[in-house]
Order: sequence, then structure tokens, then C-alpha cells
Amino acid sequence: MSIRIGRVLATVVAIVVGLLVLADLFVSQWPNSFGGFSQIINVTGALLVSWAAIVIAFALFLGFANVISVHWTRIRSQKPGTIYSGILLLSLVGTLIVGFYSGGPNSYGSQLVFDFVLQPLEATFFALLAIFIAAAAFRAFRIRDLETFFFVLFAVIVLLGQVPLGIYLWPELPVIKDWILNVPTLAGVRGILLGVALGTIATGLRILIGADRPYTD
Amino acid sequence: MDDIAKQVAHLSPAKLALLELRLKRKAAPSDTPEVILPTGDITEQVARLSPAKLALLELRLKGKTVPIDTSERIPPTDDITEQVARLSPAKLALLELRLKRKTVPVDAPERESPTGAIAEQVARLSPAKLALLELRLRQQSADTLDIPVEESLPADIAGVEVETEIPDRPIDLSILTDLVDAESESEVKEETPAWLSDLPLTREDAPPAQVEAVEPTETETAETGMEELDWLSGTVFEEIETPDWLLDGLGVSDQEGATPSSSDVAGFVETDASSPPPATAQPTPAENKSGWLATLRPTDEALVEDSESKTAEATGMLAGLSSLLPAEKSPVPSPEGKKDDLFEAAQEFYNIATQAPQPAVLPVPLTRREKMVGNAVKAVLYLLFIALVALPLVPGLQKVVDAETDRRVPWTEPAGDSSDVLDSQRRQLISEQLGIIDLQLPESVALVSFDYSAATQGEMQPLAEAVLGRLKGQRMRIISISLEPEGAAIAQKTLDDILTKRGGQYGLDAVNLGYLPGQVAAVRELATAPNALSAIADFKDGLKFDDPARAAWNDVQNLGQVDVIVTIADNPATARWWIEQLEMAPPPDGGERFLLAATSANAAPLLQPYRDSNQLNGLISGVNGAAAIEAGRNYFGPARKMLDSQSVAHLIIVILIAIGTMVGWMPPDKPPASSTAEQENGQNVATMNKEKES
Amino acid sequence: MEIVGPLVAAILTLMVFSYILGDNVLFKLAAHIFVGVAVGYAIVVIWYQVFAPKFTTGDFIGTAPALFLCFLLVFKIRPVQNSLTSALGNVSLAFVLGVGAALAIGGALLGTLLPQILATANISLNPNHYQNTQNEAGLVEWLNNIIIVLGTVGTFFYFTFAVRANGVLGGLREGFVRFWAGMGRLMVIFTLGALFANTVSSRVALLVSRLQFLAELPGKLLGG
Repeated sequence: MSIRIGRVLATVVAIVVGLLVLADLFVSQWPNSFGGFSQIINVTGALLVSWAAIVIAFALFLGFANVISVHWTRIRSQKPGTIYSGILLLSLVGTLIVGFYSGGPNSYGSQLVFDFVLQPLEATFFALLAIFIAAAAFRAFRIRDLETFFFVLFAVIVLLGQVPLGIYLWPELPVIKDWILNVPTLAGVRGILLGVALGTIATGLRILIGADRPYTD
Repeated sequence: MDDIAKQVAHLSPAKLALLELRLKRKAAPSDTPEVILPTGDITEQVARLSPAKLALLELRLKGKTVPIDTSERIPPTDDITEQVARLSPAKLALLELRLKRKTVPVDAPERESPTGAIAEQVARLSPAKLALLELRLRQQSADTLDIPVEESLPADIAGVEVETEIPDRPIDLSILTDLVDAESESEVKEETPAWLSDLPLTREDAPPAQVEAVEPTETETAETGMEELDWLSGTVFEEIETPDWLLDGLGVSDQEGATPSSSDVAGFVETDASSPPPATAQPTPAENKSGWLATLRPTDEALVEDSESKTAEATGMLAGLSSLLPAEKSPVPSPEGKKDDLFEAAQEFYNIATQAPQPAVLPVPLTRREKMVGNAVKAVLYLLFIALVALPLVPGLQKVVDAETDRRVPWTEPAGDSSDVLDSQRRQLISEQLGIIDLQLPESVALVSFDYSAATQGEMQPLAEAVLGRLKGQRMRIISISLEPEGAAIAQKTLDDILTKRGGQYGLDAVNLGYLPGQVAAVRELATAPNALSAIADFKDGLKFDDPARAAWNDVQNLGQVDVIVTIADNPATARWWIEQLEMAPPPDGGERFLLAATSANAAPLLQPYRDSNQLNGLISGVNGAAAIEAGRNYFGPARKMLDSQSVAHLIIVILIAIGTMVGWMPPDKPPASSTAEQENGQNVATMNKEKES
Repeated sequence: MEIVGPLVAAILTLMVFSYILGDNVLFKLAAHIFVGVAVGYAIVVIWYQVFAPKFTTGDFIGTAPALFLCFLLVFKIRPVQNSLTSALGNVSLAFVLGVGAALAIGGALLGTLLPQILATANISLNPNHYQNTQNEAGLVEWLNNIIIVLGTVGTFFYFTFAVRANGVLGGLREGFVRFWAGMGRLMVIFTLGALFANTVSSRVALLVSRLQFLAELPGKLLGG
């Protein structure tokens, strides 16, 4: 019973809050205020949005809690990889100690951690992608018909047109690259954006009318 | 061996669909002229499935919400017989298989551990088998209990970790499939894999929860009532879950009233078919994540229309774009006319079920030595690539045009007459995209949002420095914020850097307000709140604008006093938040406000329409954009230093594409060059995948 | 620190790069250190930037409901299926999703759909509207605009109107849709080609930047 009440409550919250914020969006487009009505909506909407921002930030904490609990369990159950989990938690706790002891993210300690540990690691992980993209370029492209031909052709022109080297190969290359990006790609992306917008609206509406309830278990 | 189950469970819906498709395609018996009718019972068929398929099936069954007959409430029960009776045929088959495969001596001590009375009951195999038998007998008679079993997938905690740990590189699913199939042969003979024995135990572990899930609720009834809203369900997000081979053609089978007793396969299919289309399928977080991409696929119906796309990707986000992918095309039995759809579904299932594992897809398993050699060759090639790209970065190898002042330029940047094209292009870019900045008066305010993290700093930092330099060059006052936690530190560093280089004082000429939480909500709040900027304490000193030390900023309260907003974003989504939310919140004083986007190269094309519609007043992107700004100042900065390497890398990749294409043109019946190279490569990736999983 | 810091950074960089030689201990070590530090750092930032100010600056009352919602969210850490606490946690999630859905709808409608449709609709296909169709520039602009309009409509059709229609007009409609979707398909292929190239460019930049760090390191260490 209480569970059902919980579900209904969640659905009601999503619908009411969503409609209020949506109303705020449209009301703020109106020129006049209808006797303070629009102002009430505006204030309410703004308040709800600001609360949501805080809850979203807190939700990140939950993700972190998950990471910690996974690795803590792994250590306790002595599963393979315990040592790595230990290192993970150690570096986490170390970062926390440095951060809180030295007084926040702008403190000297946190800056050191960011500049010399976090930034190089994170950046290098993503740098590895380039190498694998190169490998994929070799394996993935097979021209079978006109369509794949165009795909590869456009990709190659843009690739070469983007770097100064392309000019040596063919002076017109950068110009053609610009044309590709400004005309056919613009058209294609705009069509995609319209579709995305429609999809977003439909998905959002489903949440606002309670047809979709991704927040329930 | 639980790797496979895990691997499958971790796959995104799109990938799942792809995997499914691959498995399906393999099943197509190109040489069998005559289709054998599905005669065997479902248990057998399930038993024949390879581990990958089993895992898939399991996943599907878990994720599926079976409809409820609200008129009939089935009380929770502890009776194992009753519980078993409620299982759907497919689940039954699975259970049966598990029971069969279980080897008692190994598992026995574990099973006796405290798992509750029901678990013990299950551990004693005979009752379950009895129940099963009983049910089978009962099934022959008309009444089949169809009980909703609502099991949401366990929140995948490890998924978070895995994602961060493993670089997101293209995973070749065919390799995974091949791997899985190759191993499946030996697998069958082994004792129960751990992942197989997991499910029944966990199910038994928490009977009360299970019971509650079984209990039909009002809200669920509401779900079924939502069918009128079908027009809304055409959203692409929804579609990801629906292309379900288990449900293929089932809507029709329902109408035709096939009875469960027609055959076991039909029964299996029928029970699932009685469910309404899963209009209430709730997108899991994983699905939401791929929202942008998910929209890049047409609906299934489109594919049905196209008869030639039968051999194309029929599911997943790559649907329809068959020719772009090097997927092997194998003939799928095409329906002649509008035959019995149920029959087709059954036939398809049969094909999959009876398909033997095909180790032939893989070449002869490489020996350890061959593997090592392959890995070594690959590593050497990678290192070669890196070395070539790194070469122009060595300071000693850079082109010095003026030895006295140590003025350098990129080697690849054309000089003399041939530089006209590049120069004019760069000038045009700057004037078109950053012209707004040049129109600003000194002391006007620019809000710069650092919407990137350390991950993409390599590309974004030169751009950020160049754009900030441009703003500073116009003597604008700069407020920085960030929508990413890491962005605050990056912004602070960049501001300090610019102020040192160009002159200026933090707190007077520039101030960093740090991280704003809430993503799109943060942008909305910023755009509308009357004290959006003055209420925030800054990142460095913790002071607000009303502090005496910030007297220079007293005139700034909110976005109304900001003249130019610049988002430095490494992805199109963040930039879109800015564009869309600002569109909805015009500046309070009715004045003009400009929005510029400085983005990564991959985001730029996706934002180009907004530039075209003037919702963006400027769009500059990537190393190229940054280099253009630097070149305008005749400055050999971080971006121009990268240009040579960028050129080399692009050239190498183009050459690789060319070679790959030519290799692809080689006749396929001559295995050597193309296939071995590819397979060897694939083998390596597969090995890497496997190692990573372990 | 001027020397030790960059050295540590370089070692960590190389540890990650070691992955190209195959998965190994160093890489795994780096990966786990990374996750730990990233999570720790984000916690510090969020605490100091988001939550600490709420408690210190007297803003507490105004944000109390938000903090209450955060508290409810705690129940989702270890969700017990279908328990009351989990249901309460869902209220928090529902709140966030409600706000998110509303913002997304508004943004998509007023920020993308209408402006983009207007932008396309404002394009004139009448050659007389182009000042100088006689010379090359005007002609090219006109042709480009034709491509943009056809391409946009086609792509939209390709992705959106794929449902088969029945009835007398169904066939007509289908032919119509098929024509546009064919056009759109071509345009999507062009677009994907360009997107692929740009993605490559982005990723390569990340690699180059890391290599730049390594290449300039000796000079930095020796010189400074």
C-alpha cells in the first residue's frame, strides 16, 4: 500500500513540477503579466529549477557512492583485482584528504593533484582513442557501392581540408571542405536536429503526462 | 566463463540489437533449400543455444514486463511448484537447463549455505523437476497461467566503473560474437558456469520482493490504459528496446489466434505475444545516455518497407546504413508473400536455436607464439604512428623563420604565394565568427563558460586561450563559469595565464565564479535569475560582487548586464543547452545579447544549423579555429604548434583508409591478404577485450 | 615541485600509453588511480562549490526543500526493490526528471524546432530573389540554398516519417515519403562522412597534445 502511495506521489511530483516549469517557460515569453499571475509562475519555476540543480549535483555523489561501495565490496570479498580496488580507494581517500585539508579545490594541494595527476591521466586516456581510430580507419572502410564511396570521399576531403597540408595536395581542398560543412552537412544536421527536437518533445511529454515513469523502480 | 553473461549484460541496447542481429544472421542456412519445421520442444532448443545467446535470452526475459490480467490476483506463494508453474515457457526452459547442467559435487557445499528455505527447495532438484513435469502436463490442457514477472535489471554499478576505466574505443562486435561462439563448444561440456547458476538463487533469495513484483498494481493498469497515446510512442528512444526477435511478427500472431498448443515454440511465442506492445518500456539510464545517437535510426517499419534492406542492419542505431559497415551479408530466408507470420517467427527462432556453433568463422586458433608476434607487430605499428605524429612536436625540429627572435611557423603552413588560400580563409573565419567581439566596447562584460573537462583539454585549451585572448584584446571584462566540476580549475588556470600574459588583475578585469551544478537547469537558472551572477561567490577568493574588493563588478547582477556569452564546449549537447535556454530567456532589458560557441571539431557540424539561423552569433572550432586566431596575431601558439602533427596524423589516417579500401576490394575467395590481416587484427582486439574483462 | 610534478605527470602519461603494448599492470594501475582521483576531486569541488555555500551563507532556508530532496535520494544508494524508502527516493528522481523534461521540451520547441523551421522556410528558392544570378556567386548561393532545403526536408523525412501507411492514400503517401527519404539518406551519408572526419580531427588533437607535453618535457626539466 505504502509503496503504491510512493509511486503515485512520485508521478504526481513529476507531473506537477514539470508542468509548473513548462508554464514558466511559456509565461516568460508573454508580454504582459496578467495581474501578477505570470510573476508567481516565474518565481515558482525559478525556485524549482534551482532546487533541481542542487539535487542533480547531489545525484553525482550517489554515483560516487556506488563506485566506492563496489570497490569496498570487492576488497572485502577478496575477489581478483582486490589490490587495484585498494589503490583506487586509496587514491580517492588521498584526494579527499588533500582537498579538504588544504581547503577546497582552489587550494595549492588540490591544484597539484589536478595538474599533475588527474589532468595527465584523464587526457591520456582520451588520447588513446586517436590511436584506435587510426586502426579502425584501416579496418572499417570498405567501398562497396556509391553510398560508401561518397561517405569515404567526404570523410577524406574533410580530413585533408582541415589541415594546412591539404593545400599542398590541392589548393581548392579547403574550399571544398568548407562547402561540405556549410551546405550538405548543414542540411543533414538540420534535418537530424528537427527529428531530435520532435523526439525530445515527445519523450518529455510522455514524462509530463505520466505515460513514462523512468523514476519508478 | 561468466564473462559472456557480463559482457552481454553490459552492452548498450543498440549493441545488444547488433549482437542479436549477428547471431541471427549466422543462423540463416543459405544452403538448406527446405526449412525444417520446428518440432523439438523449447527446452531442447534453449539447451542448444550458445552461452552468448543464452545470456541474451536471459537478459530479455529479465527486462521484459509481462502484462497483467488485473481481474485475477494471484496470491504470493512459497510453494515451489506454484512458483515454477508461474514461469513463462522460456524461463522454464532456462531453469530446466540450469538444473540439468548443475553438477552436484562441486556446487553442493555452496548451495547449502544460508539461502532461505526456498533456495534449499530448489537445491533439491527433484521437486523442481517434478513441478516442471507437472506444469508440462498441465500446459497441455488449455489453461496456462501467465504471471507477470517484473524484474528490472539490477542497477549496474560496475558499469560505471568499467566505463571510466576502459577507453571508449570502437568494439568490433563480430569479434565478440566469434569469440563467444568459438568458446561455446567446450563450454557445454563444462560444469555449470557461475553465471548460469546465479539467477535461480538470486530469485529465490528474496521471495517477498518477488512476490510484490508479481502483485498487479494500479499504476501498472494505468500503463496498459495508455495505449491510446500510441502516437507518442513513436519516439526513437522507445524504439531501441522494441526490435526484439522474440517478438517478431507477434502482433499478427495474436490476431490469428494461434493456440499455445500448436507447438512448443508457438506456445513460447504466443505467451509473450499476448502482451501489448511494450509501450511502457521505461528507458534505462543507459538508453537515455545515447539519446542523441539513438535518434539516428529510423523505425523498424521503414526497414520492412525496404525489401533489399533485409540483409542490412535491421536494428540498432546503424539500421539501414548497411553499406557503411563491413558486415558480412548472408542470405536470410525472405518471406514469399504474406505467409503466416507466426510460422516465420517460429522458423527464425528454430534457426537460431538449431544453429551449431561455428568455429569456422575464426581462423585456426592462433598459437601463443603467433599471438605474441601479432601483438608485437601491432604494437610496433602503433608506436610508429605515434612517433611520426610526435616528430614535428620536438622543439628542435620546428621550422624557425627568424633565428634572432626565434620566430617559428608550422612546416605545413604554406608560405609565399600559396599561402593566399589559407590566409584569406582564416581572415574570413575570424571576421565572420568573431566579428561580434570586435564590435564590443572596452569594459563591456563577457561571460565565458568553460564547458569541458580535462579529458578534452588537449583540443579545447588552445581554443580557450585564443578566444580569451581575443576578448582581453578588446579589453573586455571577463566572468568565467563552468558547467563541469573540473572546468572550474581549468578556467582559473586559463584566466591566470591570460592575465599574466596580457596584463590585468584577477578580481578587477576577470573573475571566476566556478562550477555551477545542474547542467541544463544551471543554464536556465543563470538565464532567468535576477541575481544569477551577483549571488555566486567566486572560485578563488570566495567573494561575491557586493564585496568591497569586487567594486568593479557592482554593476553586474545577472545576464542582463552581460554583452557577450561564450560557451567553450567539447560536445554539442552543452552548447545546445546554451542556445536553447537563452532563446527562451531574452535579456531583461530587451537589449541585444550575443552568443558565441567555441567548440571541439566534432561538435561544430552539429551546431552549424544554429549558426546559420543566427541563434549563434559565432561558431569557431577545434585546433584549426584556434590556429586561425593565433595566425591573426602572428603568434606561434599552442594550436599552431600542433598543426604539423595534426597534418601528419590526418595524412596517415587517409592512407590507412585507402589501403583498407583496397584490401577490401581484393576478391574474398583469396583469403590471404585481406581476411588474415583483418582477422589477425580482430583476434588481437578480441584478446584485448577478453583480457580486459578478466 | 616544478620538477617533481611534471615528472609524475609524465610517468602517469606513459603508464596509460603503455596500453598500446597490450593490457598490463601499469595501465590497470593508472586506470584505478584515475578513477579514484577523479571521484575524489569531483567530491571536493561539488562540496565546496555547491553545498558548503548553502550552509555558510545563510541561504539554508531557501534551499531546505532541495536539501530534503537530496536526503531522499540517499535511499537510492542501496535501493531495496519496492520498499517505501526506495519509493521516497523515487520522488526525488521524479522531481529532477519533471524539471528536466520541461526544460527539454521548452528548449527543443522554442530553441530548436521553431527557429530551425523558420530558418529553412526563410530560404527563397526563387532565382529572382538573388541579386546577381547572372554571375557565378549568386548562382552558387541559389544552388546551395536549394541543396539545403531539399537536404533538410529529406533528412527529416528519412528519420521521422518511416511508418507504413495503409489505405488508398497510403500508397501515394509512401511514394512521396520514399522520394524524400531517399534524398535524405544521401544527405545523411554526406553528413556522417563529415562528422567522422571531424571526430578524427578532435581525437587526434587530444593525442597530439599529450605527445606535445612529452616532447616539451625534457626542455622544461632542463631549462627550468
